This record gives sequence, structure tokens and C-alpha cells, in this order.
Amino acid sequence: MPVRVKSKQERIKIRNNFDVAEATLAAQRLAELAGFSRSQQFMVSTAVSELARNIFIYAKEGEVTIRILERDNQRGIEVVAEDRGPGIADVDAALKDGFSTSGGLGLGLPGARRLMDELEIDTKLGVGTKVTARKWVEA
Amino acid sequence: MEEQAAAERVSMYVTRGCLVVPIQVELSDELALRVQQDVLHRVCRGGVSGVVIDVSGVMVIDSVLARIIFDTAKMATLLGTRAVVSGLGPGVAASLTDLDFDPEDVPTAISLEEGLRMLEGAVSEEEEEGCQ
Repeated sequence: MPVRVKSKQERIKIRNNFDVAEATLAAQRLAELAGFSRSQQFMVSTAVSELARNIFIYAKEGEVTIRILERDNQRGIEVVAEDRGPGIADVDAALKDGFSTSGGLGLGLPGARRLMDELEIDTKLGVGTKVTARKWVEA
Repeated sequence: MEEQAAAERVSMYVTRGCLVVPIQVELSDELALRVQQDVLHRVCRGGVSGVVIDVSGVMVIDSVLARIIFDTAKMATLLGTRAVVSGLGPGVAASLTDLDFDPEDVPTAISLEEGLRMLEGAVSEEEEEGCQ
């Protein structure tokens, strides 16, 4: 490895706007370590910003975990955004552009899915939501 | 994050009859909204017939921040000025497209200089329009 990695994982509690900003910064730092181009680093950061905002808006609090992934000769980044909020009643609808139950912009999930390569939603009404998103550095 | 909690401000200046708003820090919602207020108040004081909001120093603009920035430009237009958002980086442009963000009819420019050039034709330095 060309750089000594201090931490390949960051876990950030999301309770306010500043936590969202902190998660965004951590995402950029880890995306840089993973080897993403500058533009791609900022796309990962933007996706994290959207996901962290969702936690703050819908669940009030939760957690974002960002880590560097390695498979074969490829590196990537994984973002897990978890909360114990109300859950999502209709996942398909939540992934459609323009859908929002918060009166917000409704850009969060479909946008984050396009910014990353993969996005999975695990949700249960009244229990919470876990969004896992991954993006791989292009070989 | 203490530095963000402090009352941060973006300083702006007037050149060639245009209010230039160079944003050189990562934005929080609060800071973006403060910039919005400051821009509108400055425009209302008069002597400005164009506004260039330059975001070349901002690397991450998500859907909410983008809305605040572009709304600021729209509001400045409603106050009777021309407004341009300049300096969106490639990462920001790609992200906003993935986010399906609609800039509506707010014009954009590649750089602050280009933004000023776009307004120059429309803006006369002598012109002094106050707020109604």
C-alpha cells in the first residue's frame, strides 16, 4: 500500500447538520484513500450527505459507517446509513425521483443510488432503515 | 466541528456594478442561508445590477445546498438584478446531474470571470436600482 492508513473505517453518529457535514468530510477522506478520482470523491461525499440528511430528517438520529472495501484487485467504498426511525413503507416509491414524505426534495435515495454503484435498502416499519451503498474504483 | 459552529460569513464585494459572492469554504445549510440573506440585503441596498455567486471553492454541493444557492440567484433576479452561478466543479456538476437537480432558468458560468462577462452586456455601472 502506498499510504499508511490510519483508519479504514469511520463511524459517525448523526444527530444534527454538523454531523452530516462531518460524515461528508469523512467520506471524501476515505474515498481519496480508496483511490477514487477527485470528482468521484466528491460524488461519494454528496451521496453520504444525502443519506445522512435522510437520517436526520426522517429518524432524527442514526449512524453512518463508511469503510474501504477490497476485492481481488479492486478497491471501493461502502456506506451504511442506519437508523431506528419509522421505516419506509414503500421502498420502490422511495427510489423514484420526486418522491418525498417529508415535504423535502425527495432526491435523497434515487440520487444516492445513481451517485454510487450499488444501493440496497433494508427497512421495517416501526423498526428502522438500513441503507447500504457501494462504489468501486474503476479499474 | 467548532469552526463551523462559529458565526462564519462569506465576504462579498462589488465590481463593475456586480455583486461578487466568492464562496471558498464547504457550506453548511446555516452558512448557505446566511449567504442568501446577506446577498439579498446587499442587493436591496442598491448600486448593484448583477450578482455572481461563485462556488469554485465548494467541493460538495448536495441537493439541499444546491437548492439554496440557485434559489438565492432566483431571488436576486426577482429583486431586479441579473444573477449567475459560476464555478461548479466537475464533481459537483456530475453529482447534481445524478441527483436530478434542476437549475431551472438560473444561468451558470464556467468561472467567476466568465460570469462577470455574461452580466457585463446587461449591466451598466451607472445604473442604480434600489429595492422597492
